[in-house]
Amino acid sequence: MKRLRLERWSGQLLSPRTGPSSCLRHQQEQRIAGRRLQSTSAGLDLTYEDGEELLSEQEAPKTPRKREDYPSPPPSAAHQSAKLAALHARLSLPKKLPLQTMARTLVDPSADSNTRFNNAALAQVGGSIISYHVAEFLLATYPRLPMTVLFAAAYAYNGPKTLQLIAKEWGVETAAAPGGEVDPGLLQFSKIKPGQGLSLGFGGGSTRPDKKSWMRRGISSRNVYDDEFGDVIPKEDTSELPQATETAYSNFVKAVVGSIYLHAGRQAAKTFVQQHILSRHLQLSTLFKFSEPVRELARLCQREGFEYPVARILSETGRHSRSPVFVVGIFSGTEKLGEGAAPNLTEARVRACVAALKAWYLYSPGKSVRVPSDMEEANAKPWEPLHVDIGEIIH
Amino acid sequence: METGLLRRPVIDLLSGRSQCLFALNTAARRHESSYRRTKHRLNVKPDSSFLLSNNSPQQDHIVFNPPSSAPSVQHTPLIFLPKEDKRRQLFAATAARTPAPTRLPPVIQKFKPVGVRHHLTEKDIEEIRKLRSSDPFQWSAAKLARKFNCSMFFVKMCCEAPEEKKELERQKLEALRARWGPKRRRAREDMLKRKELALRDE
Repeated sequence: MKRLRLERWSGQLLSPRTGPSSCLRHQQEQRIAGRRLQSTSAGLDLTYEDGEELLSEQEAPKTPRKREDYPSPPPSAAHQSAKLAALHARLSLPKKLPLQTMARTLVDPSADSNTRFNNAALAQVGGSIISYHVAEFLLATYPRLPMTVLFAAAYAYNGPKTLQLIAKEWGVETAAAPGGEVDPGLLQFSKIKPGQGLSLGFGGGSTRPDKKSWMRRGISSRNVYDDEFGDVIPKEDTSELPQATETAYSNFVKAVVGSIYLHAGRQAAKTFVQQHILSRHLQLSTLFKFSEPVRELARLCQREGFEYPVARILSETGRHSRSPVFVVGIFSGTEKLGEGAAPNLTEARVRACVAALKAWYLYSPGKSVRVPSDMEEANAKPWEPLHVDIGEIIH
Repeated sequence: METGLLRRPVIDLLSGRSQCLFALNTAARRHESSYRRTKHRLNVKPDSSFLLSNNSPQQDHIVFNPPSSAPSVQHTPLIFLPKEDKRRQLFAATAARTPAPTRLPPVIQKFKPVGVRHHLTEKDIEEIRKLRSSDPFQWSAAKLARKFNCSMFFVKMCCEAPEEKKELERQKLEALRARWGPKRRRAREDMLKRKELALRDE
């Protein structure tokens, strides 16, 4: 396998680009006065193809542009921002990650449409990394989760609402309006005006083949056509329109992960995701909702070759009173699968079946199970295959 | 009685905060020392496992006596564990030490599994369909189930009631619901809510 040179990638991200070589010289000269550069270290003394050196100070027509003219603060402002330095230190980010890139993660495409100055590319990389680590953690730790619960769990771990929460916990605030004069330590995006309504981008249709509203959108098709949360992907790119606050915040968190990946490498990005996203406690057992638990459990027992599940009364109190309590257990042979308590026998049996099904679906080989990306470490132990389930119960 | 009725507003008027006034008077007295009360609350109910016997361990050990509570869904039952799981051997070792229960708790008669009988033939199913279509008002699903000794679920798998019969049943139910008062309506709504909660295990 060819080794990827990450440092070269990040260098490319930050290096000054002198424009395409096919460009005419006079066009370059015209542009040079108002050119935006991604790095403060980049000088303006450039050598063109004909070998003649251009000294910008003397020769270029001097029409200095003010900071207010730019849609986002210039990279040179990153070193003057106390907020940005504080954020960098607070997150204990690696030294390799410069403040200029940190400033770039805070510029949303809705503030600055230039892809060389906004965080769209970084967010794309970071979002993929986050959802990969969340997915491998969930699949390795809970191999039997149904698809709907898996989508809900992924949304709870790295959905836009959670990422907004994380960014707010980091102390990132939003700028009132984007612009070149804004402190680069603030999150810059154009906000939706009150009462305007969310532009979810469904007006232009989705990437799914089912165009009609009445067409069935099953869970299996969401695996193929939809995003990691089972939501529709809009066809049109609406990233440059005014954004909801949670979208802007989530793009920022993704961009931070992407920039860590580009500057400090794969392992640093993985550690960052583990510490900030996967370390959060999610009560998975609350995400379940069943429709026919009794029948579903019977089908499970049939499929797996267990004995038919039987409801038995474990204990009861006040049968003829106003508020009785029945404790019902579901048994397969002599093995108790689940237990539920309720004021009537029917509900108690339903609760016991739900508990048994949850116990099946929430099987976990352990919290410290190895995930596939652990194999990328140096001198990793040989891989032991994980438990792969045949799928959820169809009843 | 009457004086009390008369005096209460006056006191309220004078003191402004009558409740507070009385509370101050009563709180000045202490019936019980707070130290003793705290000590009393911290007392653990004695259990037979606390006593030392010949079987009890000789070294320092932990007494594990948790309060009774609903079992957690995180504890996977033994038969739900996959074959390669290491907990299978551990559970088997524990099960070998403790004797198996001789008697299981009683089965709920209402939910006793009937089992698959397969006693109806093609001819019977044809008969069910014929009866249902001949007079759906007389031959309801319940009646057919009783006649053929099968479940209503099976009858409904075989044939469906005509649309007019369904409409009539719907109207009957609507008329019944229209006669419900606010209490019964609320009770029914609460019942549905409880059903939903049971399915979500909340």
